[in-house]
Amino acid sequence: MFLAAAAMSAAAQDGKEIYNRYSGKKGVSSVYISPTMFKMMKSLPEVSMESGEVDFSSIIKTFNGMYIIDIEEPELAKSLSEEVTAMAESGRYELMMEAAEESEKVRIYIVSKGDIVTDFLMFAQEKGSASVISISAEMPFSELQKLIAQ
Amino acid sequence: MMEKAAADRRIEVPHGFRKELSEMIDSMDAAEKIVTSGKSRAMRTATWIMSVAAGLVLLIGTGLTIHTFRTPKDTFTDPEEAYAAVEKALTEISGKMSGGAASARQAEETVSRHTEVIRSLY
Repeated sequence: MFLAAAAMSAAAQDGKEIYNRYSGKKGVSSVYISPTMFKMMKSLPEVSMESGEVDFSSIIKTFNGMYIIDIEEPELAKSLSEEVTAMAESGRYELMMEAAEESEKVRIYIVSKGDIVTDFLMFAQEKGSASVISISAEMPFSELQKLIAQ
Repeated sequence: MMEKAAADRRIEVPHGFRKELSEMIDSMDAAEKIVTSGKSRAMRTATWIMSVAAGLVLLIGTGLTIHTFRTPKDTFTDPEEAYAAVEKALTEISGKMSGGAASARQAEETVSRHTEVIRSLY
């Protein structure tokens, strides 16, 4: 009974829970890439690790899993926003960056152990839509900084 | 005291008293049966409904718990496709982070400029 109540009322604790709650719903597109798939990316030599001028190969090697949720349904987008806020307030995630432009708000959260980022979550919200990109990784801060420099 | 009185044959029992007493006991017994049986049926129904409701809540809750904590199925079976999706996501992240950083730099420059103006006045 406790588990049931907890599952129904508690805020999500990570990207996986958010993914499981929203994927498959109407107006939601989702992508999940497993740790196994990331291992396969590393081990396959024919897979190019570069794309044009931008090279993400070194950062991708640090990834263990990725969850992407893109919501075009206003009610669900609002619900996702509330859920991400509640998750951030629960204290596990640290707000790394917040940016607001005319119609878009972006918040980036991380969980880190020393110099290693173990969880990265980007939440972007526009009018009537919202998206989450959540990454579990063993990513040094220096790799994360490269994303700004790209 | 009462037993002695009951055993004393000299005391006359009023006519029809035994019958009235017997009928009263029978009617009380019947009333008790009606009340008891009605109450237990209602209680049984309530207990049954509550049990079913609790079972349903437990079932739904267990289902939700399993759904929330399950490991999802991979979207891609081809690593190259998966890699392309990761690159696309990283391009988006990089764009947003760089945009935020650029705004921060711009704000910093504006603050510095204004600070210089204030300093030049004093």
